Amino acid sequence: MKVINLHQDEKNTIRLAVENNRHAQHQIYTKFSPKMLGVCRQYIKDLQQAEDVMITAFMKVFSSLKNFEHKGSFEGWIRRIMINECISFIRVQKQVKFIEDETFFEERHNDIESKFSVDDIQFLIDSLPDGYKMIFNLYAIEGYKHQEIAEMLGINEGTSKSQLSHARKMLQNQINKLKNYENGTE
Amino acid sequence: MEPNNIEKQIKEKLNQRVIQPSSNAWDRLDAMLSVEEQKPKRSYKWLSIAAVFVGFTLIGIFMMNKENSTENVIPSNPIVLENETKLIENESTPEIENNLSEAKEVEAVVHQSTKKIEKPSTEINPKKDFLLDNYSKKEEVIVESQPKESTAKYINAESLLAEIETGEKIEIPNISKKPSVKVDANALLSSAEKEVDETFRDKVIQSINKKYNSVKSTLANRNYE
Repeated sequence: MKVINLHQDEKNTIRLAVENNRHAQHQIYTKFSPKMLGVCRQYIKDLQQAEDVMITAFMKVFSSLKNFEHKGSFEGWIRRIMINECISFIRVQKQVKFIEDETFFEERHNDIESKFSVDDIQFLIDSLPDGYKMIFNLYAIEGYKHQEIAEMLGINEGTSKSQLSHARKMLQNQINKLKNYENGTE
Repeated sequence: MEPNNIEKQIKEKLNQRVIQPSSNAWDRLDAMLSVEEQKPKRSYKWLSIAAVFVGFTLIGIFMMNKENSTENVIPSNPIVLENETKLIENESTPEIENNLSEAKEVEAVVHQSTKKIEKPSTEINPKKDFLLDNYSKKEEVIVESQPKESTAKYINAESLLAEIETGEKIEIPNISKKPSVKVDANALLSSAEKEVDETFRDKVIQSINKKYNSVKSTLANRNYE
């Protein structure tokens, strides 16, 4: 019953937000902004810039809210808008260009059992170049397929695969460095 | 290419992460939303101006199409012309008959020509098979020669009288010789219509220009009001 009520509440809030009810819009913002800022921060190293992008994306959320059909999860819908906004920001601001390189290699699976903190993980991701970071985030964290990533970024599927393999290799090196550093300090 | 353990760990941790936005973030979003709400009112103004432009261009296109369509109508005119020339022919023949009644020598020739024209209207019904053929042939002859005949007869009437007075014989070839200057009625009519259309088009363009300039000036002055 609680779940149904929550769903109904969300529907009502969305309906009110479509009618430009500022209170409803604020409710949606308060509920989702912390998580969405986390999403934007995955792609954008600078927190202030990430927040700017999040605000712009929320503008898009509210302006296209009338198109939301209540079919999938509302959070997933907002998240997709955030990711698209982050990608367009990176592509415009940082002018990321993907080299059409389709050579990739199968790397050995990394079964390192060591635990990393969120800050460590963010540090590892931040160390990746923007192009690698985007594809790694989209594939490994968001769970998009290479075909979808290729469509989103306007690149070949092979390029997406090769960029991911490069990103993974670079990430592996960073993890090894981090581990060595931790071991050295212990 | 499957996500490995470290990637699963990264995914889990990042999905759980939350970062509180700065306190003024909502205020900025609120301000942006307020600006967005005010925008539609302005855009209606621009829409109405744009609609005026679109309206004028549509009228222009409509006029141009109309002009083209009048040009297309021209081919149907020859039928009307035929009738008119027939009427002229019918009217003119009695006159000529009267004029020429004095001249006995000419009578025979004129009667021949008038008979040719009168026959179709009176004798079509009784003898269809034979006369229809003749009729259609005569019609063709008449239609082809009418513009020439009508002009030639008026010119020739005086010369004919002069010739009669002097007592000289009329040569039939004179009628069939026809003027050296050929006047095509269709071409005349179409050129006249073109002229009319051109002046009309000029008027439309002028009025559009006037309206455009007035809209332009009001747009330019709107900031000073």
